[in-house]
Amino acid sequence: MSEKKHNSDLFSTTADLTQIHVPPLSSTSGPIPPPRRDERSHTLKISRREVLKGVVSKQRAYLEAMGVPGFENRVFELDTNEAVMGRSAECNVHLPLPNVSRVHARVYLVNEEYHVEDMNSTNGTFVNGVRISRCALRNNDLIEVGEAKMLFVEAKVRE
Amino acid sequence: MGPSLFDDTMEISFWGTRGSISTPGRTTEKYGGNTPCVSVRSANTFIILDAGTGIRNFGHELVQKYRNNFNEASLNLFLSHTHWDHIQGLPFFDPLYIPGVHLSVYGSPGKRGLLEQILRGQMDMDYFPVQMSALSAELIIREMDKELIEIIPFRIDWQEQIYHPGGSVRFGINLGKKRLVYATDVELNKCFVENPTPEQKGHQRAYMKFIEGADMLIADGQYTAEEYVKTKNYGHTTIPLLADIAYRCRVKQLAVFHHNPPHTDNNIDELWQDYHARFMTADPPMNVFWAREGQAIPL
Ligand SMILES: [Zn+2]
Ligand SMILES: [Zn+2]
Repeated sequence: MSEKKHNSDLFSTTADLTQIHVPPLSSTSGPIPPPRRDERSHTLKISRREVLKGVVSKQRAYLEAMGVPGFENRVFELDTNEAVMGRSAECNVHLPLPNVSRVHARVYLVNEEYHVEDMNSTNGTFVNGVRISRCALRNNDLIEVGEAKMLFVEAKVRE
Repeated sequence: MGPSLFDDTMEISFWGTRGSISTPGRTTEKYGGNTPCVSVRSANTFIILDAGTGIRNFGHELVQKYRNNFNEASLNLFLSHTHWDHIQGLPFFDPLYIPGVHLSVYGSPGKRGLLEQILRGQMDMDYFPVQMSALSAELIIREMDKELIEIIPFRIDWQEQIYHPGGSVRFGINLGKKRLVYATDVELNKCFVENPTPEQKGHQRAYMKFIEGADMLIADGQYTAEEYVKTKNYGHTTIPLLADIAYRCRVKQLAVFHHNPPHTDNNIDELWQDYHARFMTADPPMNVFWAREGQAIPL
């Protein structure tokens, strides 16, 4: 986190620029006098980017083919679009391998979290050896789709 | 909520797997920090096992799925017992704030009419801003009397578990030929002892018969044997004993549940590596895994 301490409640999360009214510093020490009507307050402009320093701003995730003949170290980068795994050439993660259904499973983003979901495949989708219909993914999860083994790798980068 | 499932398939979803108290943070994000809640679905019928803090996310998903069509959904909550970690999420279950929603709540008759009072009590003004009487949904609280409860297409059987402070209930959820057993908050180490009394022997037999051949057993496996030295009498089972009994009873998949709050994802990964390898290579194999929040399993 940055050394500046902000009360996050003060900032609107919708506007990029947020204006905060800061009362002027009193020139005298001792108890703070009640504000006078004619005193003008100062306005501080802080960008949303500055406020959100230290908050996860980048998320990189990919599927890495593991020990699949013809697919050694193939990496499929994931983004906000869903990645569909299957034997059909129309799948963006095309896996022409035994026991893979035409459209087998998909990986998609929900609230900053990748999930994998089986798409009624014949032989099922497994995460770390457990057959799933759906599973929130975590770094280093092994997804098995027929003969294909795909490692889910995720890195969250703080700016 | 996933693709449509075949008629005889239930979908088991873990919303909270942690025991005793929620444990948010980076070191628990894989297996999860929410306290017990598991949903079992067949089409639009839901059996909800416990209402720990995990039920909150389940509620969000239900609201997203049914919005204005809650009359299509059948919601049935079965409480293993009323310890905090199993009821605390209920006031945060969004469907309760939607008019027209019905939630049937089932619990042990052992509370002698107190079940409703306990649930109402945790929403008392001193604990929570909204009183149960102000909820928009209709809550029907029942203490189970019949041995077999039928919620089409499910059949649910249950047994009292005495080896837990205050007692708890285990449930068998049956659909077609499939059987799921949910048996949490029980200290099997106090029943499966070296020289059992006739009473303990009876309880052993009842437990083993209940889980025999289950397609999946979700069970309390809170402690390692090393930890148990200090946690005896807390009401929870050790992992090696649980795995051993489950294997002897030919359980097909064992979902270790009610994770010890101090256990980090790395701790659990190590346990999983050890047990998974050991029981998957056995003949016949048993798939042992640690239940994980956000995981949905077809059975
Ligand atoms: Zn508990
Ligand atoms: Zn308990």
